[in-house]
Amino acid sequence: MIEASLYLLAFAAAAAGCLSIERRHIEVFGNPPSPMRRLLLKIAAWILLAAALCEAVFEQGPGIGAVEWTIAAGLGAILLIVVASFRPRWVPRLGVMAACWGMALTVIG
Amino acid sequence: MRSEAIGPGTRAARRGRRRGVEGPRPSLVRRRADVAARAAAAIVGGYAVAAVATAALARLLPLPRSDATAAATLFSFVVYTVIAIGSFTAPSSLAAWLRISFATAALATALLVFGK
Amino acid sequence: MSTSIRKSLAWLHAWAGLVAGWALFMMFLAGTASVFKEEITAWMSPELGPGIDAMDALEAAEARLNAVAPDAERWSIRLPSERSPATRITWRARDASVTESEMLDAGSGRVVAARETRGGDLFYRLHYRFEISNPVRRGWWISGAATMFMLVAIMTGVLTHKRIFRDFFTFRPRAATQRTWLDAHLLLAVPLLPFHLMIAYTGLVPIMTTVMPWGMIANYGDERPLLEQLADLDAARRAYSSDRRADPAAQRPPAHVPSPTVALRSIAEQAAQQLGGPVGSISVRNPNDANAVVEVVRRPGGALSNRPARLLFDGSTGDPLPVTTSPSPVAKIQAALYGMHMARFADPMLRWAYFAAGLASSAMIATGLTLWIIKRRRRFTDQTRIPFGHWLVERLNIAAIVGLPIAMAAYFWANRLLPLDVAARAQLEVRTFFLVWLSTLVVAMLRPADRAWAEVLGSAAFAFGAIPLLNALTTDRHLVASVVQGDWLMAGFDSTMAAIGLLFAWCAVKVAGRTRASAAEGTAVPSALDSSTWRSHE
Repeated sequence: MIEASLYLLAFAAAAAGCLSIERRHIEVFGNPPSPMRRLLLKIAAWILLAAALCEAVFEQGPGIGAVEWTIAAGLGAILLIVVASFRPRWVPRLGVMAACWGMALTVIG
Repeated sequence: MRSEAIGPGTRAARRGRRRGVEGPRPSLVRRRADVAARAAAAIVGGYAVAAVATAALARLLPLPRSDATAAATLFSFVVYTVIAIGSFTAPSSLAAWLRISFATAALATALLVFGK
Repeated sequence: MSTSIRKSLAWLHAWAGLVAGWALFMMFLAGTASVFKEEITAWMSPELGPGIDAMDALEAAEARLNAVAPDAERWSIRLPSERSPATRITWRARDASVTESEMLDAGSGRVVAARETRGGDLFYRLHYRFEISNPVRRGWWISGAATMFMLVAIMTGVLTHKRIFRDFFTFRPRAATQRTWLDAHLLLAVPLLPFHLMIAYTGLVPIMTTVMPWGMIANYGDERPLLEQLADLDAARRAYSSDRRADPAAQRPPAHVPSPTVALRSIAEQAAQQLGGPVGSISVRNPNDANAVVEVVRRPGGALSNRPARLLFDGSTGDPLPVTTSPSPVAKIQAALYGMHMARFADPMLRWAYFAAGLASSAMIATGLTLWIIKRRRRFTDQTRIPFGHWLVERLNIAAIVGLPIAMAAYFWANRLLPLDVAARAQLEVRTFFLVWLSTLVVAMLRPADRAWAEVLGSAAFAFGAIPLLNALTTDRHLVASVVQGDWLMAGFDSTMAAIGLLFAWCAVKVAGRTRASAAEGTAVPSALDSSTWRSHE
């Protein structure tokens, strides 16, 4: 489903943002993130979010696209936080998979 | 610590809290009356201000009649929400009612004087 | 912001939330169900086959209308779609004050012989007017008032939360503490904050001139004294309406010169190309008259506005009529706000997104109601003397949060179990809904709180989980058949019911487990939502 790309990108953005937080990073990797890594993760999160917005607007037009993007971002964040709270180790791999699949489906569709 | 203690409170209680001392606590009746007065201000007073604001804006906005009506009505709910919340953050229930009365009077005047 | 003001806002958030919480939960849950109200109605009318070609359905509908109301004042035909397999025709006779309608089977064009049911419309009407019918607008005042409470609750919630953005990812559901409920409430509230605010505010748009008519009165009222005008706003309303949507071509009065209306199919096919999407509905003003006007409306989609693109045609000649007015910016904004709430434009994926977000909003309210009780539990260490207010709030929580879903499931059960030819069948289904809902409140009042929660949750699990089985036993459109035929509407409904049943089962198990643990420890808990560890946390 090409339309899933928006939701995958939103989830990936949430994952990146979550990992940029010191406490969460420690939970997952065991050590705090370096300042460079924190910056990169934050940038990645914003880029993924912007890509999601572009995809939404491209597919559905500006009005509906903006609405769908807002909802997708919220749902993605909620889902990610639940995963991060119960299975923190899964966050990086799920995040990377979501980012890859999301980008792929965006480009294809 | 009962819920009324962290409520909006009467003016004496809030003054006391601001100064950092637990002053004399107003009686239960006094507190309940305060809450009731503020609630009335929020619900009734808020609607009054929103209503007059809607009428005034509908007349005064430099838009075609139907557009002005729609825009004013859409905006009225923002006004209502702000007044409702403000009724509980005002220093006292009296202050809340004074503000509401002033706003209503000002808007009604604008409506009568400038509305064609 | 001073501490004193922040405390006032927190207090207001808790109390505004409590006063309107049950009404709001119902509005949100019923509203979320209404996202799929067409599909629900379709599931509740299993005799209707899946829809066929819309143009054939149009011809059949036109034939039926010509037979039944050839010189009506106005015809309206809603074509079948994936969401709704039947054709719906409506007409108003010339001197009649009431509109008649029928559902036609799309394939045969015959009046449908499906069971009489209100379908998903029950949830829709509950949502916006609490199923109040006389007068209809009274219900709008109640939902409007509840929405104002919601706006206050949202804004105070945001203002109270000190570090709302910095804390974005640090919510963590811990194990069974009061903090968990707060975390859950925040988790559901904050990421979807734009959605909650949008839905609450845009919900006021459809009813805005009813609950806030003062602009309309100021601009379209007349010289009569104000009180007299308020008693009868129809004149002002009509003036305002025609000002907003004046398209003179569409308003032509009947010429009283008979002239057969051109075949609608040809007009619809011509229009479909220009509209940029499939035709959703067609209406004919003054059919079979010289001044007939045919309006072809696109199926919703492609734009936020609640008024999809439309084209006008002369009914006698089939020629297009020019549309002379286009909406102003304010009108476009209003239509977009209205559209955002109704989500008629939503494709399946977005529709499910609205559904999920709506469930999250409902859960946010539910966790809020639960938090209200839990926060106050700690003030009463003497477990046997619970104040009446708290006892009542807990019972209302149970009836609202779990009782309403159970009533919805009972509505579906009634649809499958009631005999097909019983009188006032639709009304009976609705009565079952309310009766079951009321009885969950009664049950909640008779049982100790901890058992009550586990029992109603378990009942909900059964009520929903058994629906696919019930469907299989009472019709031949059960889950396996639907999947085989690719009938995703039916299959989707059954699967969703099963999933909801599983969700309730999980909740029931969790709650029962916690009750057993506290009982084993010897602490007599009046509510299963307590935990013996909460006393040490904020």
